[in-house]
Amino acid sequence: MNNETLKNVNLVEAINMALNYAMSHDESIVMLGEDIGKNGGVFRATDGLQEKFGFTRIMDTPLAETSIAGAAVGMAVAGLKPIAEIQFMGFIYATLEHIICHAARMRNRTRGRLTCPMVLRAPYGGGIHAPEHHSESTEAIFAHIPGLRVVIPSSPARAYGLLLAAIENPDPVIFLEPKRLYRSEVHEVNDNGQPLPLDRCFTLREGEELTLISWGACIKECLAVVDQMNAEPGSHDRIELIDLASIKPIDFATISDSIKKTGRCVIVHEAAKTCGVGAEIAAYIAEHLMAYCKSPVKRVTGFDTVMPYFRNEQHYLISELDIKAAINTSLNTRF
Amino acid sequence: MRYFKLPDLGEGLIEAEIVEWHVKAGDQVATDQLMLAVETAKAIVEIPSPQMGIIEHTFGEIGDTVHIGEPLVEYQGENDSVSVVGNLSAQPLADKAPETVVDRFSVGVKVSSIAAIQVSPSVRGLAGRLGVDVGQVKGTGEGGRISSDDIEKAARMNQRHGNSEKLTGVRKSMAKVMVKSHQQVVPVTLFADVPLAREPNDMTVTVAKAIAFACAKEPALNVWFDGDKLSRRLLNFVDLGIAVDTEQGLFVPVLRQVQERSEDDLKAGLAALKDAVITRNIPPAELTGATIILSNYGSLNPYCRYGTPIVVPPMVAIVGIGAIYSIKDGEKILPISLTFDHRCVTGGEASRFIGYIAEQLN
Repeated sequence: MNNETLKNVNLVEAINMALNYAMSHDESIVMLGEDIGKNGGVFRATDGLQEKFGFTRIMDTPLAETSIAGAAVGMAVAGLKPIAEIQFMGFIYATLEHIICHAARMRNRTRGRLTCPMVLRAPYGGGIHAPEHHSESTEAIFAHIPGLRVVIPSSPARAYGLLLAAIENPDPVIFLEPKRLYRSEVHEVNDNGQPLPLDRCFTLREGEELTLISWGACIKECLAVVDQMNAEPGSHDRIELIDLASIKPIDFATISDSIKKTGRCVIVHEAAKTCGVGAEIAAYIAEHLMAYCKSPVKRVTGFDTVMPYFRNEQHYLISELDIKAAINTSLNTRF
Repeated sequence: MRYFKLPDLGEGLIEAEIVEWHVKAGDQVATDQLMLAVETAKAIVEIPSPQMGIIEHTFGEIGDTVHIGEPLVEYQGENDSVSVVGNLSAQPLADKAPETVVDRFSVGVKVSSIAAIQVSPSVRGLAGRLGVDVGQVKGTGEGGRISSDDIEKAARMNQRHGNSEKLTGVRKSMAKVMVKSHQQVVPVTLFADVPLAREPNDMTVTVAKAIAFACAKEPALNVWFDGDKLSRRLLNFVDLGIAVDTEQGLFVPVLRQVQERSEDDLKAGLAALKDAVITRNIPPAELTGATIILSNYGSLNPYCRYGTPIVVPPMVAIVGIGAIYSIKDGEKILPISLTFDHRCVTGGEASRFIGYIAEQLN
């Protein structure tokens, strides 16, 4: 199965492939979480893994997120490489004590003597008509904590490569999976065990006039808008689309290169606006790139409210029209 | 009877609770029309009809739990035993199964080769109010940033001397070619006063033939030289670039195969080229591929004698001719200036080259 290019792989299958590859090649990797073993995970991310690797490496846990995180920190410090799954991001807050107070600062606290090589996986974001606590996009909470890496893939191939990189990394990585994309698109994925670089963003489309930065499930709408706008008759490639992918640390070198070229920036994220990751990017641009900007940075984000339940979520989620309107405003504004 | 059964909803879910019926027995439904909403442990899923038809019967009331494979709807129709229609995708919201799309991505972005202009928003506003094009202003601030002083200075210059004009077309390409030459070529210019046996009626054509003769005798000046790889290509034909002055700028159309053509033929060819340049009908192919250049600046002004013409890579030589003048015994003198690229051509070769030209002219 290894080193094989598989067609029609969706994002959750790519996660499963990466987990399978990593566990096959590193015996110190263990997984723990709710329903990840016998059941194979609510989204089937760990389907078939317990049968293959046994219940000592794929561990079903009680419904106790605090214990999952605490056990993972202990395992990581003691020499294992735990991959803990939190079933939905809405349940992740119970882990914060262990993640913030221990995992994130283990290296610093012990002056580098101990590290905490763990991955905390969780599906995040809305768009699947879910009840409360099942649609959260609170990546900024983790991005604010020194000592944590936060990674969000937006395609099957990037999910595969980034998850392998997260597992290889010697420090704690919060790996958030956009569950709206779990099954929405299928791509070719090469099961070759090749990690993608962490701490870098990815350029999905090249353009000259505006830099569009997004991550996670919003990439889907951004791609649709960019492909449409870049293909307009008589138009050249106008919009450059960057998938941030690494939410912490942010690849500001790439963002700088792009903005020096385009002079305009629109940031799209599903999370609420205030203190969102988009604010960090906008602040960086204000500090370092203001003189290159031809128009103000624009943000297209979720509202500063609790993510609504399924009946109203379409009013909360960002549409292609929202993105297009922001792009047009930016292109038609000059300082 | 045809039945529609609760399809596999994915995510490992095996049952769902009916939340709402949108249709009832006797309704006509279209393909993809939503028939009912069910709630799984994780989500509300709207279930569309996989076919058009009239509903004979619906199974289950609001609040009932149905399991995968249990019938939800029976359609009116022919008796084809108990069949299942429809195959819902595992994705709750998907209307159709996704197609494999090509996933293109790269790490990092292409850096623009055009230097980005740095102007703060307030200075940009000032430039707009003063009518200054920021693209025409050189920034003197930190890292080349354009300051408000730079804009005000540019505005004062514009006020006093008018706006500056961007080079376009041939003048712009001349600027680029000359800069490239200046960066690469190591030029040396030799000046020669060549006595003429008689004054020819078409100086350009006569000198063109003399150059072809000199190229045959001293081929080191009729070459294409690659300065990066340090290799030269000795050429056995002479395609002579002729510098032509126009209002728009400098054109250098190419007179082909000078070594084998008669003077009359060359004269006609030259006239045709000049005409094509002036009427702007010259095809780009006629402006490329020269092996050596002749510039007859003497024809423009009777006082111009010498110059230091610029060699254009990959060529290694250019011949300039000034206005003919007489010395005291009435002898006619043609002043020649030859610039050669000393990376590829020796002074001896260049000197002999002029000698061969002189030999032809006197």
